[in-house]
Amino acid sequence: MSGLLSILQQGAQSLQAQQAYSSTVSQNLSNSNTVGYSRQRAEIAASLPAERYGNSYIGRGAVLQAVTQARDRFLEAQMPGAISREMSSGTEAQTLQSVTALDLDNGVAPALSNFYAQLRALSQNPGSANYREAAVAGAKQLALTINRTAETLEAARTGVDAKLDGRMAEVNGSLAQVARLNAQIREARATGGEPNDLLDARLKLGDRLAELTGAIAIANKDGDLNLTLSDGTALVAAEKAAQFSLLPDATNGGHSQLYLQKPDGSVRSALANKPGGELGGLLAARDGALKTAGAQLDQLAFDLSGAVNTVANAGVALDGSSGRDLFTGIGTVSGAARSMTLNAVIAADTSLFPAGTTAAPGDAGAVQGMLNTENQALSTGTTAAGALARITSDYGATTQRASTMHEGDTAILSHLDTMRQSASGVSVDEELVNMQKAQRAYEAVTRVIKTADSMLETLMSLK
Amino acid sequence: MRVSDSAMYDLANLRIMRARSDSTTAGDQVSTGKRLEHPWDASGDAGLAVRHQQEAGRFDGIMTASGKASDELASVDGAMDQITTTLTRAKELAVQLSNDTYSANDRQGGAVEAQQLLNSVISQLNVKFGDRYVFGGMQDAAPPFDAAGNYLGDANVRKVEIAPGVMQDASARADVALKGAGGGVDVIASLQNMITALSANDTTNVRVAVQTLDDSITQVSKERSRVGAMMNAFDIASTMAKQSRDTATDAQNKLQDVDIFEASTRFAATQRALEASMSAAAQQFKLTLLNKF
Repeated sequence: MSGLLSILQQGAQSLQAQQAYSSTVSQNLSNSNTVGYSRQRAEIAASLPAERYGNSYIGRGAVLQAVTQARDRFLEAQMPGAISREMSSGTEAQTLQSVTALDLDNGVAPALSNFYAQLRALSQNPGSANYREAAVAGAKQLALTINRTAETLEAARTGVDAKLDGRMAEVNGSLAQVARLNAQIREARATGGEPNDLLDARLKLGDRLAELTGAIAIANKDGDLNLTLSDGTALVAAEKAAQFSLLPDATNGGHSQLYLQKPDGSVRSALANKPGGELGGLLAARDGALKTAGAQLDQLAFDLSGAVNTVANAGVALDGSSGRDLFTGIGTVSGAARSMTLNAVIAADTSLFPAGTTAAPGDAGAVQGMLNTENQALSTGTTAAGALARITSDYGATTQRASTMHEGDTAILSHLDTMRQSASGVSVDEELVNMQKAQRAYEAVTRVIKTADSMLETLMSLK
Repeated sequence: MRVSDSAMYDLANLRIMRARSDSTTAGDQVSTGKRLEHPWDASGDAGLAVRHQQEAGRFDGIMTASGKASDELASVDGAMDQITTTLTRAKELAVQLSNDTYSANDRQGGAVEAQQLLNSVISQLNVKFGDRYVFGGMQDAAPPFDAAGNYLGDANVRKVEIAPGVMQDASARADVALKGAGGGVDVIASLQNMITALSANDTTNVRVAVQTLDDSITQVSKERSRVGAMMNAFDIASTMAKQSRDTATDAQNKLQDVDIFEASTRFAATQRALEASMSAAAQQFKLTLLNKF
């Protein structure tokens, strides 16, 4: 009698185990599309200890031992670095590729070529009002194109500042959340269970922070997930999180500089090294190729206008006046490209264009001097065309490098992600088979209960 | 390898996106004919293309300016041809009327014709090309000769660039060729002297005029030869600048333009790859136990 009742009890316990198995399968299927979810496994084991029956042991059915996660720590350890690199190079490439002001057909190059072409036409007939108009228009177009290019480069840098600012709330929120999850996971573990979903949420946040900042995850012996930057700067230490902030940097044109208040609550200070991930990519683009191109353009504008103005100053207008710059608004190298402008006096009256070395209308001495600046080595040791070629190729090379790096980083990340998915991802086919497996087992156990019940009934009906 | 559903969809997505990106890039190149549009398309080539672009622009400018200078000198040459013809007629008239068989009235008539010839010469010397007077040196905004034949221009020669940094004279010296600056014959004065001599029936000075007109013709012809040489220089410069421009443009095009056959083939290949990746993904998605249970 007690044996049959024991079978019923075992059946009930086994049904619960199979139900848990089905629930786990259901959880997996429900999260087959959830980013960062690691598939779970209901570990069912034979219930111990077995019941002694004479000289033998009879099993006591099945019991749910644990619900574990399928994870590969080796792959997971490589993911943050791969995510950070992919995001950093991708962000840098994308930011740089968004600037088309240095394109070959609509940048400064055609304007520079046109400026000299118009001067050349004027040199052949300097008294012609039409050629004077065209030369002044060419100079104006050059100044405006250089202005526009410099402004586009600067706007891109300002855009990066705005993007950095937009990311601050998410970064700080995620860091605080990881710290909170550390506490919750520690608490949950203290009660005996493995808080799989909390672990998934923390892992997902770790990945996101790797994307944003290049944070590296380090698990400590207490099961906390600590986060640091690549130079070891702590972002999350157990239950405490650091906080990023932005302040304008006067030494960098007022652009935002990243500050960090460490998890220990110390006074915030400027980050010694650039972070990784998206923030790193944005800073690399802003303070790398964009800044360099802007500075090179400033130097070109300063040198070119200086060389042309030297000739223009010695030149004489049709009314005999002299001492007039062709380009004005330039004080220092810094900002020269944005402030370079055509002399308003000349723009208003093209007869004041200092074309000659005398007031004679056919004198093109000064224009010829301006034409000579085309062959003149500027402060960079090369001509204006050479300087422009260098700006173009330098910018292109950096963008190309970031783009190529991104392709490689994407391939590595994709491979690692596939490998991680291979270990942790949900296969619907597999889960459907498992579901069938659980269903069959459940049916079998039900049959056992039914049989035991029938046996009990038979026993009870004995008279 | 165990393949999760998420990985299968992510990979399919990645492959299709990559194939579409390749196809779009190839399509862009076919439709625009350019392989180098942005600096990052090929950074080294981009820098070189800028240099070629500037070179092409420079030589195009030289070619245009040389062409215009040559055209202007052609008008100078035309005017000097007319002046030579006029002076030849004046000389013929002087030779004819220096003969004692002609009367004072004949010479008065000759003086009238000589005055018309002088007016014609002055008119030719005030010829304009476009909006400029070509015989005034750098004083090209006003007629270089007044009605009395006084030269109002200057002694400067205009110059035009024929190669980077190389300048070529681009104007005739009317002060030298017509006014005898530097020790030559004053052609206008010769004609005026002839008119005076004819009006005064002064055969001696008419005969002197024959000689000075002969020297004038030689002097104008000499300047005309110089103009011809300048035209040649500009024509050669224009031809050479055109060649240099075409070379620079070709070099730039080689860097920037796509090989259309190669690009079309690549476009077709990338389209096939896109179709294949979509088809493979669709087939993969079909095979699931979801439809079996």
